[in-house]
Amino acid sequence: MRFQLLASRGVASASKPAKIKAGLILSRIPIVTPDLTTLERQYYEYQSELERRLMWTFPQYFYFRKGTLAEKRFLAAQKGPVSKQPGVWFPKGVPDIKHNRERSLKQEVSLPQSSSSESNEGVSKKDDISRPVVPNSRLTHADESNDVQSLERKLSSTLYLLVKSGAGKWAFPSFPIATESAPKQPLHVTAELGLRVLGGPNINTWSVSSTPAGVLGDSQAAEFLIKSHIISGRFELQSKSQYDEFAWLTKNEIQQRVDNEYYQALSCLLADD
Amino acid sequence: MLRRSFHTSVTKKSGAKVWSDFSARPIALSIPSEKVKSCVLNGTSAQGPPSLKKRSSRIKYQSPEKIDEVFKTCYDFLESRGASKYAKLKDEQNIKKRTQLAAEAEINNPEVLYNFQYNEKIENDPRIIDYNVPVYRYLGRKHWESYGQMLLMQRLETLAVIPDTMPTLVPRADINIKFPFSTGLNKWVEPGEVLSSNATSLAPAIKIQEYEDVDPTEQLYTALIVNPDEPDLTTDSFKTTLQYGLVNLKISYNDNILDARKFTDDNVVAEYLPPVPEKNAGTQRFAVWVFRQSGPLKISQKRLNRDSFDLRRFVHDQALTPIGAHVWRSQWDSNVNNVRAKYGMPEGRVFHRVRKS
Amino acid sequence: MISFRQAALKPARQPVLQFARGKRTKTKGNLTPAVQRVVTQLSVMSASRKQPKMLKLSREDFIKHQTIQNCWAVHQKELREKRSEQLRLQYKSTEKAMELLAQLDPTLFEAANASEAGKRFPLELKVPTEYPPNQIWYHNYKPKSE
Repeated sequence: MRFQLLASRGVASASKPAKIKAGLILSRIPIVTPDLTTLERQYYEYQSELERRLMWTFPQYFYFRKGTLAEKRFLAAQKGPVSKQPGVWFPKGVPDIKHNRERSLKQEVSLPQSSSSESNEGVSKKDDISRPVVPNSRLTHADESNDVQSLERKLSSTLYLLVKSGAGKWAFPSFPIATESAPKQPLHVTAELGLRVLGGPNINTWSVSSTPAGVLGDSQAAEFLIKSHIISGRFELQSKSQYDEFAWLTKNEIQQRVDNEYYQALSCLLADD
Repeated sequence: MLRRSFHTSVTKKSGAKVWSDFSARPIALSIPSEKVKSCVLNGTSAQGPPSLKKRSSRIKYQSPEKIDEVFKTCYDFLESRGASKYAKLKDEQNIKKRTQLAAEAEINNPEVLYNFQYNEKIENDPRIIDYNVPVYRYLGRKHWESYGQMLLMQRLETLAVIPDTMPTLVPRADINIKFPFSTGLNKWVEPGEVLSSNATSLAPAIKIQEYEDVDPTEQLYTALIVNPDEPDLTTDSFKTTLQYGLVNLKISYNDNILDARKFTDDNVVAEYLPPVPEKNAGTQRFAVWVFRQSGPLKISQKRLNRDSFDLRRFVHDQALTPIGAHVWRSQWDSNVNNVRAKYGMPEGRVFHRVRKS
Repeated sequence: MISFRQAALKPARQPVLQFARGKRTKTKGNLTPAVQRVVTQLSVMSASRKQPKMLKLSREDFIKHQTIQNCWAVHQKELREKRSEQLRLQYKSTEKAMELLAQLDPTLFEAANASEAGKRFPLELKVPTEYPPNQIWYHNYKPKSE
């Protein structure tokens, strides 16, 4: 076996050494969950309504002891159900109330406004448990200015690092295997070192595997693609490199920028959004 | 991580209204009542759902919240998938695949679901459940497999109809029997029931419901009722008698209840003999077997040995394919003598524990 | 007996009657506060008196509900099929790459095929959340000098 390997290597070097390159598919994984389609959004809303209708009654006696001020405040904040009255006709059915909840409906539990927030606003905002939750926007400044070099754009989709060569062609960065050094570097090491040379040392990445995920080209000149994730840090294109420009792009944007043939060979390796 | 492919804009474009354009669709694919149809498709009106009969319960009723809006989206989604199935159906030549595609195109149609779930499935109204339409055959088969088929096989095996009459059965058609109303038993008989001699005094109507793709204009059927429990004193054993024999029957998917109006004397190879079990002879099984024929049969009534009938040889000789069966049981009761008198049969024997020499 | 004796020994104290509106005059059993607390805690988890009325759907709504569930199942099935198809293509792509690599350069092939047992998933990679954190990306990463 060993002999065969040596022999085959001898043959290969004797004819013409194949040009092997290590390509790098560097991705930034999504930071927020994918955008919901209309169907998904409506379905989740419907399911949550069903769940609320079938919820168990909130055990208020467990959280507020009887006769305390807290209980009084809580009860005052609730919009109580309509209770049964003798001699009154209820077209929607006679109320069936247990533990301050109409059993045929969902129960809406509202928290009382704490008194401190009413008196002096802004001072103890953080202590007010009933303050509204304001989430950060899923759209960032980078989205508004369409800054393709920013890692903070398109938070809901996977971004890939693409670079533009001098010829004006967009592609994934690729690095030739150093043939001079006696022990050859594995593909993923070449790709990672090449990335540091190309984009500066302040970058933290994690290569998924040392096994290439795909190949471009043929036996004469092959580019083996290594998958890797960027974890933190920034990619800054060094001035003396063979590439002019870089961009963090989604799969759709990649399709618009690269050749169709190149895209078809790679599309299965890229996440849809 | 699962990724999304569905966009509403795409559905709207491809979503030709395949489920609502009734110019070339069977009428059975639509809910007959306009009110109910509009309630399902366009949302519940202020008057409440029309399927509730009492006005007060209609007012009292509350739909789950947001059900109508999400239903609209889902309907469009499923309709677009149905449209793509119909597009595939256009180019398909294979009959089996065509039926499957036609069923898949309609299987999620809420109108079809409504019609099938809330209407009579055995005595079906072809304007509501039309078994000519592949999707109703598919639903019917699923419904039958979910209970009726399993019940039948269990009864056939525990009562040892299999293998006493035929070696085994691969059930392919739903067989139901019903005795005429004048006998006082106005219901579809459950397999294995013990029936009184009065109830079985007239020939039963046999319903053969095919769910598979057959050509109803060509296919012929044979229906036989045999009794494998007739005491045979000479061999100290039992023999099989043929109680009823019908051949060359033609049925369609919807019109398939075989009573005396559906066939002529030419179809009858053995006139109906009602079960008249002798006293102390125990409970006797009456197995109904239905076969598909490979061609028209020519059988003379005289050459048929009804008294000791060899069902397996008959099936083999006539190249019949068993597709369904049914069974009921009978035992001696006080009415047996009346039935015998009516059919002009001899007096019954009375069996004793000790045989008289 | 015992209570009688105690009553006989102690001078009987006249119970004070309070007529207050809304005041509970009868207590439910004589539970100590600790036991009462346990009872309350257990009752939080029990279904009694907390369950809603059964949800009864009209025929039309039941069909609508079934259609919605069917639609969801179809949608999930489509996603599943798409995903498994992509996985299949990815596997084929890797296979093709490795075959070519074995042919071109056996040393690199061996390095690419080496066992990666013990490799850890980086803790810094985060699961996507519904809304972004306050600091979206950590830009100022400096590699540790070794």
